[in-house]
Amino acid sequence: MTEIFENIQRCIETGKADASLDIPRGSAGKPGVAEFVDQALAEGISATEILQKGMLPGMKAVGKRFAAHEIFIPEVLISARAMHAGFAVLKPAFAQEDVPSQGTFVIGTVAGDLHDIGKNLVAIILEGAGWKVVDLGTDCAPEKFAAAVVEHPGCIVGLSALLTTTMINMPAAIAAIRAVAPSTRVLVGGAPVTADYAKEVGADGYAVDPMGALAALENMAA
Amino acid sequence: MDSRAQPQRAWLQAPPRERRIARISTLFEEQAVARALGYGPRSGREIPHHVASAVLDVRRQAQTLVDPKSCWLAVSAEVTRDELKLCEPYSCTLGVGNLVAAQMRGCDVAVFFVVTIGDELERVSREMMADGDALEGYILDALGSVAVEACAERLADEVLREVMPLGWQVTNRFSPGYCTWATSEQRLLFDVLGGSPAGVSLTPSGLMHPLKSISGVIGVGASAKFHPYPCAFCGREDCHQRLVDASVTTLG
Repeated sequence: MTEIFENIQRCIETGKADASLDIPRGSAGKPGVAEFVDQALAEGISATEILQKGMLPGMKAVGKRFAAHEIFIPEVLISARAMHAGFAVLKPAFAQEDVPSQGTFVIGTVAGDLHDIGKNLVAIILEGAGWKVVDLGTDCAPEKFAAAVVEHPGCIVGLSALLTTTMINMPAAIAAIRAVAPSTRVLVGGAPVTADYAKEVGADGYAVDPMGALAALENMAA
Repeated sequence: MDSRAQPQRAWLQAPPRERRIARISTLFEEQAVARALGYGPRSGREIPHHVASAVLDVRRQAQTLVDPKSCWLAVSAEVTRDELKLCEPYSCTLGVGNLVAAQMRGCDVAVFFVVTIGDELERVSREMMADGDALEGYILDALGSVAVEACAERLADEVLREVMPLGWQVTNRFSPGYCTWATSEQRLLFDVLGGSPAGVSLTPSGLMHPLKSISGVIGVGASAKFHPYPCAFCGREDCHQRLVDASVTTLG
């Protein structure tokens, strides 16, 4: 049983989503995440176990390699795509099992800011790691974050800003969130945001990149 | 009297130069694209083959999605400790900050500019991301950033070619948001350029639309100097540009 988990993990790490992909080079026709997950289900392994022992360790290994600058965002996205391929196969089994969700993460770019590439990357990586992501889009007024917190009780909120001129809108968003749900944990990130700034505005966490966001959420959820 | 004074005056009276930038395929220089994705000599990692082949595919598409344009205007200016005072008919002052002002000291002319690649690439990148093609969307966005930087370089070269015969040199280009020049000054820069230069406009919060646009100023004068390592004269450790080019060290 361990071997199939190792195969799933290895394929997540290399980004081998399915047999049709030639990643790594020369592997076209060989099984990828989708095929190994399918095989695991056929062997009677539960979706939860496949997720916990094969897929999530794979994405965790990707995070470690990213943090060590061994791989970069494009390779992380290729691994995230492999995760999604695994989830697609697991989906029917998830419907039958009572699979515990990683949690809900509401994310948006703060008011005045139209940049969304960083926010989108965070959303994609977190979805790949099993989080339910609610993407509010760009230029989000504080009230929009507050409404989302009411709609998704217990969620963690991520605020993104790319500019010094727009990151100053983070405190108003945090205040609006805490006004309707005082215990809501907030993660902030974006090019001009620093750990010091996160503390200053009363955020619970700060992430420098998408994998940092995943690590921060895992710490918060632990 | 300097024989160049008259051609200099005539050059300064020219209206804003709006252009459509040609040779689109050359805007996506291979090394610059690799750098934008995190690879290359700085990171010590070559771009992996499966990423490189995705870049090739997306690059072909990117070339059809950009509509690069530029606009620039030369204005007589006086540089103070931290400001640029523009002469008639503009008669306004831009608070460019002490770092930009120091680099422009000795310049008699400020060239204000905007370049853009339009908003189509941005739209398609966003669509790709939403449709689950995150890798392609991310690469397309990076290609857009490389292309707009190349447009700004192309414009700086054009300015240099025009001013050299007049006996002038140029400084680096500086943009609001960098080197302590506040982004809130963006609106003044756009006012000088006439509102919506090259089709670029400002949102109420002062962001440029399309996003893949660069605005800024280039100093021009007989003693203007170009600095090969512009981060070296700014001490901001958390600056995005510095993080991009982490190999540059600070002087003082």
